[in-house]
Amino acid sequence: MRRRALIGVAIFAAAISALAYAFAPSPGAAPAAGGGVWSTFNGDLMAQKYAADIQITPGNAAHLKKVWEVHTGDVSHGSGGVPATDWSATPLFVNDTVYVSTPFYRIFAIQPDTGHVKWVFNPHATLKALTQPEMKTRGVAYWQAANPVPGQPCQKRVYVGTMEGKLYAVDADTGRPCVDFGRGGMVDVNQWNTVNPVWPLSLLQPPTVYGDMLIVGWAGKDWASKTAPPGWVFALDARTGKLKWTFNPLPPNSWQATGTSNVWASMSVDPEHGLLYLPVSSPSPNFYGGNRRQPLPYATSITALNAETGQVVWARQLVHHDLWDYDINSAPTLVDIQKDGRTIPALVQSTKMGFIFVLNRLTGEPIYPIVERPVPASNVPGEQASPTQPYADLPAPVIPDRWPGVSTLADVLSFGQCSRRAKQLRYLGKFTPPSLGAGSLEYPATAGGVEWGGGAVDPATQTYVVNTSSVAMIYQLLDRQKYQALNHAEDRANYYAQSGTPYGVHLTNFLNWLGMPCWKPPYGAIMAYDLKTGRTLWREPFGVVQKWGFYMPPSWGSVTIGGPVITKTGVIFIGASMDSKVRALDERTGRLLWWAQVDAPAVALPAVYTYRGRQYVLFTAGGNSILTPRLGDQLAAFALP
Amino acid sequence: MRARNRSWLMAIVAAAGLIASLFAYFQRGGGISHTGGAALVIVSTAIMLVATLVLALAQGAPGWLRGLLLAGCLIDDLGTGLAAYFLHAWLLVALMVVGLAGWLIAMLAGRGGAAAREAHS
Repeated sequence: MRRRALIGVAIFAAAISALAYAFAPSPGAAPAAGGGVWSTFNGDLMAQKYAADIQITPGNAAHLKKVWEVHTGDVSHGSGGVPATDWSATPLFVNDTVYVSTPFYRIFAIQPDTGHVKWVFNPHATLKALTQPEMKTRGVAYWQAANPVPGQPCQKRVYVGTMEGKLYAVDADTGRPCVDFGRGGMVDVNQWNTVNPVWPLSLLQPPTVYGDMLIVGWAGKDWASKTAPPGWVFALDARTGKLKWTFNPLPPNSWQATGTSNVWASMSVDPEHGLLYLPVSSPSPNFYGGNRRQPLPYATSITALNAETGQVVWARQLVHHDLWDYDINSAPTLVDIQKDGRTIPALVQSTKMGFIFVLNRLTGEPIYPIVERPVPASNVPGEQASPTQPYADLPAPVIPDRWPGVSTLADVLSFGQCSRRAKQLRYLGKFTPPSLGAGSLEYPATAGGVEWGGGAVDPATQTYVVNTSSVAMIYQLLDRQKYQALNHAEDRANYYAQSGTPYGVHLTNFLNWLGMPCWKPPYGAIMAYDLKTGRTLWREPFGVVQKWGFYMPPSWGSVTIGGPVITKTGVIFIGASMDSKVRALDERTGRLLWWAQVDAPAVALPAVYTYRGRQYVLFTAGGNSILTPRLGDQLAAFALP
Repeated sequence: MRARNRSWLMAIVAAAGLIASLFAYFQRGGGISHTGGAALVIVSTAIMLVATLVLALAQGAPGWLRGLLLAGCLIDDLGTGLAAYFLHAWLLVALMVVGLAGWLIAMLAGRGGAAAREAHS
């Protein structure tokens, strides 16, 4: 009798547990944005970069003031033993705390209204340029248990990766390592770097947190050699660090011919449909593909996976046989579009090529047409460029189809150097393959178009905002003998060996001897599109070029790195420009509402949050030597008085 | 005495310009800190200060030297003003406008003084 009662109680308890599990909101996760938090690199899992905060409006943005700043001290100009820093970290605001990682891979936990530093975690990472020329981080990730147990450590965790491939988990409240994660609080992803492990897998982009999983991509050196680690994506248990699944965009039969096609940028997730979207980069080496002629359908693609299993649901290649380093470099933005009386679950992908691809995110089919167009052939022995490439004409590409032509001012000031050089270069339009001899003129070049900041969307108005750069470069292949004849070419800036292939490569910006761009401005712009129609709503030059401190005319715009965020009230916040200014724009018109000076270019996405009734916008002013030598360690918060 | 005062006015403008340039060069987060452009205006305002001090203190200097210094001050003032404009150093632009006005006054007064001396001779 007593035994029956016990069994009955057990069955009852099991039933209650099952019901509780069935109705639990999720097993654990990064909290969603919209409640005043900024919980992921892109604000939320859908990479909308949208803040539901409403205190700052186009009417009062002009009154924004700096309310606190933190200097982390983690900055290097490369003159000492530490490489120069590139601080592209988007801060998070979760757990009533601001979290940000530094280029030295320390985590700062900061009081959101005062800037008081609560704790600092130092992994004592190796500060060497193992894969990238600079020390680089794009931030941290945050996870919390579905039902945190009070008093238990590591119910909320912050994760930071390092260039050497180590992923650390620390308690979000104390900064102490979570010892149950991997070995003593650290997982070294290089334990899985077993194919062509010629360099470590660098964890510069924070993991994507989905449920109780961390989805991890990595960065490497896809310009260095033919064979390289193939682009594994790892799904880890957020608590233990154990491997749950892997995905590799490259088929095993290609691993002796190529590598990379990795996911170094942020990813997005459609939680409703359980889909994970990967922006997949180009295969190695970047600028010659004679070694990799077999079909690589997931290279330079958007690939949608079942987030629970890592199985491919659909994929769409956006560059065939990539010879330009046109990595898909930002998380696709997920948004529902009202079009022709229907609600379409869409995905918007900005690209280095300047195209804005708008796809059905459940099927990968285009919402606005994508057409295959003939493109120039290669004249390099051993190379066979794809005869066509995908073009998207609507929304209008962010940069023109042809390069802008020689800048008269730069040409006159260089006594005709620009025009003479332009005549020597091979240029047959977009997708001109790299060439021998004087090289090819590339427009857009690897700098974009749109860089890893990607675009932001207002889901209410379905307005998509994106910033862009207009950069012309010269890609010059050098046969192996010529390359090796260069003294220590591998140590010279802008020369890359592409070892294992017949050619090295020399990459340069198309500048005159004064350092002026040889192509016509504007060099950067910001624009808005109506996703319902694909129509361009407005387009403005963005930022100001600054050289030796001198500001050039605003109509020239600036090359941009970083991206925008949008608030519910229609305010766009963006740093990104080389003039070290941060700005607020009106979403409806692109009009400048406010600006402030920060210590260095704010080459990260800003974070927007509300704490104790006050809305803040937070910029990381760390700089990037691609833009300008000015680097910084400043985290600056702005709010209304 | 009047001419000397006018030179002092230019020297004060040059000194203020030098201070503004130094501030711009060293001001953290000022937009042009530690840039070549900010260093350039430090040099140009320093040269202007020296030239105007010579004009103010060496009243007995030969006419050709005074003319040379005045011409140099004009070029320096205009060049510094242009550089300050492209540096968005608006205080320095304003100072150079004041300096230009001072230079014009000095020139006009100098001519007036010369004309008066000729009339009395």
